[in-house]
Amino acid sequence: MSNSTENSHEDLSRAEAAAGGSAPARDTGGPYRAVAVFLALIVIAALAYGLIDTGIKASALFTG
Amino acid sequence: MPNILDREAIVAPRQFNRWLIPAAALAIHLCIGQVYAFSVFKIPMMGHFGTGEVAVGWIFSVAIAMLGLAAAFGGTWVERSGPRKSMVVAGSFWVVGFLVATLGLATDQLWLVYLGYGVIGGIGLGIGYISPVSTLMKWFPDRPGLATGLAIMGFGGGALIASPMSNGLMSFFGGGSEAEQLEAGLMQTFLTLAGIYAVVIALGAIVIRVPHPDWKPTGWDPSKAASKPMQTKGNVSANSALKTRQFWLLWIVLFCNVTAGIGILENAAPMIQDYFDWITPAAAAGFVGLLSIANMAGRFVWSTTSDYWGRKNNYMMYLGIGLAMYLVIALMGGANLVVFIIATMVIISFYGGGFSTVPAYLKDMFGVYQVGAIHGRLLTAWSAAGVAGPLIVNSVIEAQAAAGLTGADLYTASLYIMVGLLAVGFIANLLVRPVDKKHYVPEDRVREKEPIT
Repeated sequence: MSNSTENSHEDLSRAEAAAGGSAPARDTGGPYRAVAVFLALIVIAALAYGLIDTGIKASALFTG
Repeated sequence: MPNILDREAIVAPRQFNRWLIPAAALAIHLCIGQVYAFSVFKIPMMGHFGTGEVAVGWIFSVAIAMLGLAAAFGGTWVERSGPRKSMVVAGSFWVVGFLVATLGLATDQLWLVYLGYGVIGGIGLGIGYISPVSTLMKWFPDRPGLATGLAIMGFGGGALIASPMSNGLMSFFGGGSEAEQLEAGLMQTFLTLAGIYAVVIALGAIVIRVPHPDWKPTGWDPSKAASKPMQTKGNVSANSALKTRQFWLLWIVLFCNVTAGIGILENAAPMIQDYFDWITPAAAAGFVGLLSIANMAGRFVWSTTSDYWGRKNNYMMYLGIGLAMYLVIALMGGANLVVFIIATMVIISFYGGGFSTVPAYLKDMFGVYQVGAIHGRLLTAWSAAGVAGPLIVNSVIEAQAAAGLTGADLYTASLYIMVGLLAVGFIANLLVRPVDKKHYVPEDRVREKEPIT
């Protein structure tokens, strides 16, 4: 196991070295960012939906 | 060439915005947090299968029991496999669980719902609960409490989303919000939820990344951070952690905190109506909603404050002030509605805070090496509290009712039992000290894992 992990580290380092030392080595470019931002928006919207709906229900405690 | 699910395939580049990661962790927790909204299916399922509340209630109980078992036994595998593979496996179990339960609904076989939602879905719950937590702590070594609060807040938030969404879907597919119509929309609702959860968890698995071995937050000095008195400088393996006094003290702390929270949660709606007889059922439902918000907010807010106050001090607060709040309810809860609401909200926020602070507490005690696996094993305290809490509260209430007591008097004895439990937890937390160095894993074994963490 240690060999494979060491190799993967070396592979990563080589890939980075080839790209100037701080490569965006793996798939973290534009499409990745688009998916990440899209997911963040889904999460925020879902939380807002849940909070608002529950808040409206909770207000019944004070309104009747 | 690593498989796309492997840890090695998702190592982020050195320059990476770590704030992209919490959404991935939240995604899976928001999905599996649906389990707390299972009660919305109770009445439609009772109608569908022509059975009682207890038979349907077992579906939830089996799922929670499987959560604890899967987290305890699957923790080491999750730690070894990395977050993407474990999220995919957890998501698959969760979604297949819904599909098998749908088959049970279609064929009128309740046992298939136990097997699907309870057993298979429960395994997904356990693996999914711990899968993103240690990864987030590795991305936020400077603020582990914030990291775990962000992830575990999702589990509380999942119910807030799933409850109205499930009701909406059942009404939509059933053609109305009457009991028979909700029942008619049950199967399509399960299928739709399975589809939604499959997509959201898959997106989370695509986005999740582990930090590059050479990455650290800008301006963060690990040597300075490790110098805090209650934070270990070493790492302890999951097997060794079980042999330490600290693990079992934390087990008691979590068990007491969760049991005390369940003492309120289990009977929130009838309790407020027994304390204040003019409260309507709609207002009581509103009170339950308010507690859900306190639960979710507590998970994020209290865990985040633990980065500044220290984990041990936070648990002093959860258990000490929680104890005082229980006394307030027992002694004068029926005198004033506002006092009752504030005291119960504080208790439930501490209940949530206890869940989200404990992974960071474990990291402080045992290091980050196998913290996910240790967290999984500690969650057996949650399973035990899930059995003990309702058992204590319900049997005391039944005994009090049999003795002829009514209203707020029904709850007084169980409230004092909770005060005692919180006192035990408080003492256990006081006894927590840093782990002895003899339990540390040799540095070279930790380094072996480091390139992939």
